[in-house]
Amino acid sequence: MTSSPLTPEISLNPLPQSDGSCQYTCPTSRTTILTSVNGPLEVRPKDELPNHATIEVIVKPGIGVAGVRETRLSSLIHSTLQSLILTNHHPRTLIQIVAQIVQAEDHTSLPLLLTPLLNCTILSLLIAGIPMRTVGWSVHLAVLQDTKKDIKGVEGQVFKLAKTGDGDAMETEGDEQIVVRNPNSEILSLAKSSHTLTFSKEGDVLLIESLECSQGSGGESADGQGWDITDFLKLAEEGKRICCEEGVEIVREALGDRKVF
Amino acid sequence: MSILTPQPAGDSLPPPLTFSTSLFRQISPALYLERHLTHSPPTRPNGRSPSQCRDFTLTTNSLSHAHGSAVVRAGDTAVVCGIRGEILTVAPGDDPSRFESYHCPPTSATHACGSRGAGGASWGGLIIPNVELSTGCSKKYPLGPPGGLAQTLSDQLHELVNVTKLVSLDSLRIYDSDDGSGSSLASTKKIKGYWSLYLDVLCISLDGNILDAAWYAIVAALKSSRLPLASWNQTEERIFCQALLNHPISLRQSLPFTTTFALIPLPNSENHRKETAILLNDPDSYEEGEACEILTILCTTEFDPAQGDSPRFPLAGLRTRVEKIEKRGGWNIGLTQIESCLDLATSKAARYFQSLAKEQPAPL
Repeated sequence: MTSSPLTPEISLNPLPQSDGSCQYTCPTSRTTILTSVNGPLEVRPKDELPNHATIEVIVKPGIGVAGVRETRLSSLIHSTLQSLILTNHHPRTLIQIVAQIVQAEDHTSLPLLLTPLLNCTILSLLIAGIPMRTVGWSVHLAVLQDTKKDIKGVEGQVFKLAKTGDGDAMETEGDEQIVVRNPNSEILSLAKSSHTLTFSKEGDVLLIESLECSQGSGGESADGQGWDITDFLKLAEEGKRICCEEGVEIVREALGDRKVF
Repeated sequence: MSILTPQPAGDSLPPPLTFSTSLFRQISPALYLERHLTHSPPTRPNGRSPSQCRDFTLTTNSLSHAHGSAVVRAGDTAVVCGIRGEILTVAPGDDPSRFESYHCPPTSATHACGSRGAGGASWGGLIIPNVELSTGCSKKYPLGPPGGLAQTLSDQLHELVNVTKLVSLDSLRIYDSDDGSGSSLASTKKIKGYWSLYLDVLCISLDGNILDAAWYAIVAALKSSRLPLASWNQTEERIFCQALLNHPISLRQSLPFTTTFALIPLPNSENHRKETAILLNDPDSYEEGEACEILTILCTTEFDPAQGDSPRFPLAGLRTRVEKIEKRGGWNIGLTQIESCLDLATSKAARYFQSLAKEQPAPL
């Protein structure tokens, strides 16, 4: 098995009838998202804002009907885009974003879906020519639990971060933590924690969704889980580097000669 | 020649537009907040300092029909959490390990299990939280089907249960009562069913920061709840419960708590490029309406054994582990601010922990 390429597969404007659309496939988990952006449109009187555009985000699940998880995803995307889109340029209008999950390994997993959804949405917003303050890019990092375990198929995506030894027992475990970028569900099930980080082009934090995700049956075995804040800050710095350098590069390459920047 | 000579500043100016404070509060919330927060020292309209959280009260076991309950009031936010245990019978072909793991990967079996009529147990395993806001708790959320906030909150609480692994799922087992053999070893007993816990959170009054209140209510209610002792009756081939409620739900030792911050932008007239902002701990709904960013930190505090079991403030002998950080919205909160917020979150978690320890468990 060859090492999978790092860059996601992006196809722009697969839906010619919408103002902007994008299909995005995550390189490792093969999560495929299709988004379409329409706007500025006429807004329903109920949702009209006097000096801002209304943003509507609809996440459509790959299987079944939309439920609580999809509502949560769309509210997360909505709050991120709210700060990115210059809503005061089109007051009293509607910007409608529809994201369809085409393929996913785990249709209920929030961390696996959030990064492709955000990246795909931002690309289609650029295509649609919606005025935006800046461009953001999202990356999903998983910190692995067992450093000895062999991971296959992710050769290009692993990097190591020095761990701050907090106390006594930690130092025997080794002073490095292994971080995998854009993990698939198999790697995520081995992970200790999952971090979805979104940074703007300038390096400002747009969204953090970090959670402990180790397996277990709970109760007292869960005592002492979690991470130290200094480890997190180091990880976030690394995420920032990935988003600001590689993320921006991916956006630039994907858009190519389209003059949207 | 100019006719429009500047008038001397005197009586001829129209009287300045004045209105009462309460009207100002209603018509221009952003400016009203800004005036308060740019004051020195910055004070919020509700009288608190930016880093101060509201006092909270906790009452446990006030609902007689639930297996456990808690009422939490923080300022004008009041939530009730009731815990109801229901029995989930394990069918002969089922793999019990599936129920005993948080974050279990989805298989065709879990999808099949969902269709077996166990309510929400399909995607949630054994613990299912639900939030209801439509009780007239706030004029923003009228009666009707659960809206976006209620659904998001339910999902967030469900995620918190999974992330923290609060309840020891082993303690929810229901065994075969093999009185004859007398073997009390857990490994030899057969698992016949599970308790599935429904955590119903009802918001009585909503004045911001419902996540913290709801999560605290859930932790307190789980800690106070007592399930009946259930066992499998071989002759009847059913699970029977004893009338006495004396089977506690075992939780983690170090309990995690959430702390929420809201970031209010302060448009700075002198410096347009970099606008300043201020972080408010435990926002109320008026402040949440103006906030552009919300930061939630879930952390546990462990008291260092060297310091004894009476933690002093500020933060002596506390070790903090972060289990979840969620930041959504704008771009103003930097990584350094998250670090400073963690200190506030730690002290709040320690306060929660202390008040929970004071609460007397129900008599067996």
